[in-house]
Amino acid sequence: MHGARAERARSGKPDLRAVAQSGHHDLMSRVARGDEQAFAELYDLLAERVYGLVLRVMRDPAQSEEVTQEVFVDLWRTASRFQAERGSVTSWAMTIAHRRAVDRVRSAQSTVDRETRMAAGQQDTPFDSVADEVTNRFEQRQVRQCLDTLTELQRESVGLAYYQGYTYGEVATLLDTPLGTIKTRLRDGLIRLRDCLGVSR
Amino acid sequence: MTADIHTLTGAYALHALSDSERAAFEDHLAQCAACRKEVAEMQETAARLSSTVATPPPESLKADVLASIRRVRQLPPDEGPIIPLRGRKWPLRATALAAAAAAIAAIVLGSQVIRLDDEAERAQNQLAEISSRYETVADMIAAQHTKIMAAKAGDMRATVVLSPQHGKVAFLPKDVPAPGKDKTYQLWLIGPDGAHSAGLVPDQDTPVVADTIEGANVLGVTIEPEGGSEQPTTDPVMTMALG
Repeated sequence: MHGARAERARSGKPDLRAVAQSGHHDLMSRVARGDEQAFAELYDLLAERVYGLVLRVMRDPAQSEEVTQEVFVDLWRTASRFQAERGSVTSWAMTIAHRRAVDRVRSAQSTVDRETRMAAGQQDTPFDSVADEVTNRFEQRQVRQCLDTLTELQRESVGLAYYQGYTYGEVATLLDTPLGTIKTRLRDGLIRLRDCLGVSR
Repeated sequence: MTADIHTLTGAYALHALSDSERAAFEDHLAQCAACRKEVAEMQETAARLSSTVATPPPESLKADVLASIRRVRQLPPDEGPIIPLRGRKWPLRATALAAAAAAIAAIVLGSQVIRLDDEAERAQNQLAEISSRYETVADMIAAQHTKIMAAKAGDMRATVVLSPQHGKVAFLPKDVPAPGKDKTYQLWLIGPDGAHSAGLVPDQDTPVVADTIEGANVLGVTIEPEGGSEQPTTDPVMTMALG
């Protein structure tokens, strides 16, 4: 984080998200070089979001734990393929997490092949970053408010697809709405969210 | 069907396509830079949605994860294209048609997005208000000599940011139990000449920023009747030294 702070002090215009992201990019470079300590920090940074999303889609805590573990192993394995100019670390990680959770609920047989768990008690390495903390708080609030700016159909469609992992065909059936309409609502709903959240690249 | 393949960006970013549609769309993505940009932005947007469902995993999971990565070899860096290319190319005409359709769709969508009803407008205003506080906090954190302190008292946790350079103190609630019906949390800057209100804590997620006061070296939090009080009427539930 020191590098990020110094950089910001020079550039003048602060952006908390940028501070957090620049810290995340440093972290990812270390993970890509095989730094397990950095990976532990990455875990602390993302675990609540990854597990929370997987749990939301899958509902079953035991399977959600497995999938969360798979997601993190994936992040570790593919860390060198992460490219900062293509998007944020969070977006990269959450896209992988969502995809895995969705694939798992859709696959007919989800085999439970659980490994023996190690005992708890490993001490937490706090990811000491106020920028992250504040960004998360702010983001939650922002997301809720931006969801309020969607039409009901947009909100329901996006919610069913993202939080429940339904295909747009399933969403169309659930909402008793033509396929084409749902397709469009998913897109214009995300566009409105994107603009409201100020996401741009 | 190919004419509206652009509209699948949303469904694709949300993993809401069937496998065959996904493959077809990825073919399309490989040659549509605008679509790739839109998909990336939508994935970024979707990722933000996960903030509302964040849940702490079981404590033991971290050790499991750290143990399992020790047994997994990392992939070497790759300069190649990330977008999977499948030999087949879309006929040029279909692509041009699709681009035209997307352009029209964008115009139609654009006009819808601009219209905001009252409720949405209110939400936007609130958001702007929070954003400005958030930017102030960002400024403060970036400034030199800023102190960042974690405060904990009972079930309440907060972060306090003190910036002598800005002459401001920020209170960032972290875990704040409900203050009770018709009650509110109020912040106080306390010095030798007594307590000065530093504002009410509107909710869990909103930072409170106040000007520091000469000589006031303690930040206190009390529970007050809704609307706040002139002077504290209860004992502080949390105090922290700013010195």
